[in-house]
Amino acid sequence: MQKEAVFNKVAQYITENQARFYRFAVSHTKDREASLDIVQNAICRALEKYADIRKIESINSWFYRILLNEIYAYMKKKSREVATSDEDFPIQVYTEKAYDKDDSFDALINRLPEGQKTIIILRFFEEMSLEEISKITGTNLNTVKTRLYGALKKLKVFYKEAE
Amino acid sequence: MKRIFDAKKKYEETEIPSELECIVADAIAKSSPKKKKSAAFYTKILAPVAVCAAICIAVGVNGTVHDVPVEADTEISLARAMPEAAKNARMTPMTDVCRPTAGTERMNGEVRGNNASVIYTDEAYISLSCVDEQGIKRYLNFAQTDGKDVSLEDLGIEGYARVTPFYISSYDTVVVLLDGREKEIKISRR
Repeated sequence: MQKEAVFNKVAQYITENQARFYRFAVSHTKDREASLDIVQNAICRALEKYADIRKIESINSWFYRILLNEIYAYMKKKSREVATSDEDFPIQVYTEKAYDKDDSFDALINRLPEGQKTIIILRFFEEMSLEEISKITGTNLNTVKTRLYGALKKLKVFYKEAE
Repeated sequence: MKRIFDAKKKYEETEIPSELECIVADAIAKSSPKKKKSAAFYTKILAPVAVCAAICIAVGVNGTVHDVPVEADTEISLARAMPEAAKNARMTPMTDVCRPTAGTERMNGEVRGNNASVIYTDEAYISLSCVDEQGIKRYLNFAQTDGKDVSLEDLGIEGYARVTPFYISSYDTVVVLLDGREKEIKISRR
């Protein structure tokens, strides 16, 4: 396929699925502005490297992998940031955990380690196959399965705790 | 499973910001293959040719090396040696400067006044993210400036624009997106 045709396909794919990308980013970062930046960076990176796609059919996993890398890069950067203003240190009110439980499923997912959380979102919310998830996360298929079932087990435990 | 289904429903109902469409369209527009082609030509072909030419001149006719400093950083030496050529070739010169014009003040990452200007930009695109007085994040796009000044007023920003801390790397440096890449631009008084 010609270079320009591939570019047009990629651009079309991005335009059609932009809302999905934003949702995926915001589900990890919980930050609207950061998610917009992540999506923008991922698109720029993808359009720089579109010639790397071997098969146009695997565009979905290819793009999600770029997006996921951007998300992880942001999370890493954020974890290193040092708070400098008073606003960054909100007054913390002591609450008894037993009386202040957030047992929504979203909150339970957020308690999972980042890798397992990603797999749950890709599998159940983005409805991707295990093979696709394996390509996106760059892990072995069996590792994906183990992490998925591990995550589901943990969610069960969290859910029981919340009850 | 029911909880997963409910969560998925909630996930799909995530509000999509209106800026998203604009951001995506911008990113696609500025990544078109034609622009890249010319940039690649000047960085990959012209730069090595310029370095070879400099070495040839330095070596001279009789084969001895004259005392001509050849800097290790090709891009810097190229920009210094041939600023006009670099300008004509529409390469990003090393002297990109964004400075507030007379009467404007610069205070801890804030550019006050409505006439802060970008003196020189790359041919293609500079996108500057800032927050306006209403606290709304805006993407300022400087397109096809060809070295002309572009004022914040021209861009529809009144009063002052506060550049978000994320894009401020130090007191006098703004990081802008240039061709999809982050680039530092120095701010100084004129």
